[in-house]
Amino acid sequence: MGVYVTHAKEETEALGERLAQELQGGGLVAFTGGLGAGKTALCAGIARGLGCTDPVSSPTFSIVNVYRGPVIFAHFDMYRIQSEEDLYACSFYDYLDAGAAVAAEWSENIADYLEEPYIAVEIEHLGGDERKITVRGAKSL
Amino acid sequence: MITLGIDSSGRAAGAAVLRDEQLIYESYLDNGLTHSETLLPMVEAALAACGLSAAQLDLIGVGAGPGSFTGLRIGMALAKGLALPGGLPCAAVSSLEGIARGIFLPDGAAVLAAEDARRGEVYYAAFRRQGDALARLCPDSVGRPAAAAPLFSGEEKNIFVVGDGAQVCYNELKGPLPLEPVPAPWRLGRAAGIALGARAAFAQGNAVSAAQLRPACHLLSQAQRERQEKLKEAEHQ
Repeated sequence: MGVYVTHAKEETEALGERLAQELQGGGLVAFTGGLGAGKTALCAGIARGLGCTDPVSSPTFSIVNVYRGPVIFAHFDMYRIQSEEDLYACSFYDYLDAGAAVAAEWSENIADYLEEPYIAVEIEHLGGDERKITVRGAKSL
Repeated sequence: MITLGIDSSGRAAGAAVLRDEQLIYESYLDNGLTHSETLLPMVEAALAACGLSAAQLDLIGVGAGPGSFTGLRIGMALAKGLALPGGLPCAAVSSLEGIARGIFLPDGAAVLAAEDARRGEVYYAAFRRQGDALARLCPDSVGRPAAAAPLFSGEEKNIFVVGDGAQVCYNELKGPLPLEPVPAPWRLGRAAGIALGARAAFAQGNAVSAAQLRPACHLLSQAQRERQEKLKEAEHQ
């Protein structure tokens, strides 16, 4: 387990870039933490670390954004996912089976369906630009 | 009668053409889930190699699940697109039945087709060969492999296990049952199995129009069924 305090968006992104090293062969990152916590910045770092060049944005409305690169990066927002059928129908399993790197924001909503191993990332907004980021299940962080 | 079978419901994709009962073409691709890019060229190649146009087809069979959400829709969309202009009949073939029909079975032998449904559960269906027919022993179901065991109580002949859930079933049921996992190259779904299933469905009057073609619903796990029942009960109270 690693606990990091970042003081700027750039630092959060840099942590995401390091996290990407664990996702070169695909895998899942499950985020917990509310609005404005910095999940999108962390995902932008992951995308950069994976070599994905598509612009990263929050998938709040689309549910999933897919960024192309040497490793496909599927960025989910589970806020409106209520059941396992929803999870199946938003193609979550298809991206995992395809060997993509998958990030899931609001993973609280799919906690019953998460299968080990995965990397759990909890982000707390400490006020201002400060964030406390707790990473579990990552070998190098 | 020319039947085109297409399958993109599982890990492997394929296209097959039957002239009456004779398999005249089959392709198989198990190279990651790239079905959206590969299925249409596979069907194109199948028709070209057989010297056929889509208008000359008499029946289109498609793997209807259980399977990958995206894969099912790729296959369905392609089948509908091919069938619509000529009003061709279509058959939604259970992917489990397709897998079972894709292997050779000795007469009287049973087969358990199982696809991984995650968290230790499998989608499964069982069949037995009776002469030229394949008899279904249970509807497409989902559960732990142990749930399928009573279907084979007292079975002495080898039960063949196919599908990407074959290993899970074998590990869990090999003690009580004489299971024989089919070797890996013959274990996944084949389009020929789907085409043969389509012919059987057509013969039984179960072909449908392109508009009526639908993938199978996502089967609910035991835990989910219980949860939904509880929710319903709570609503009634």
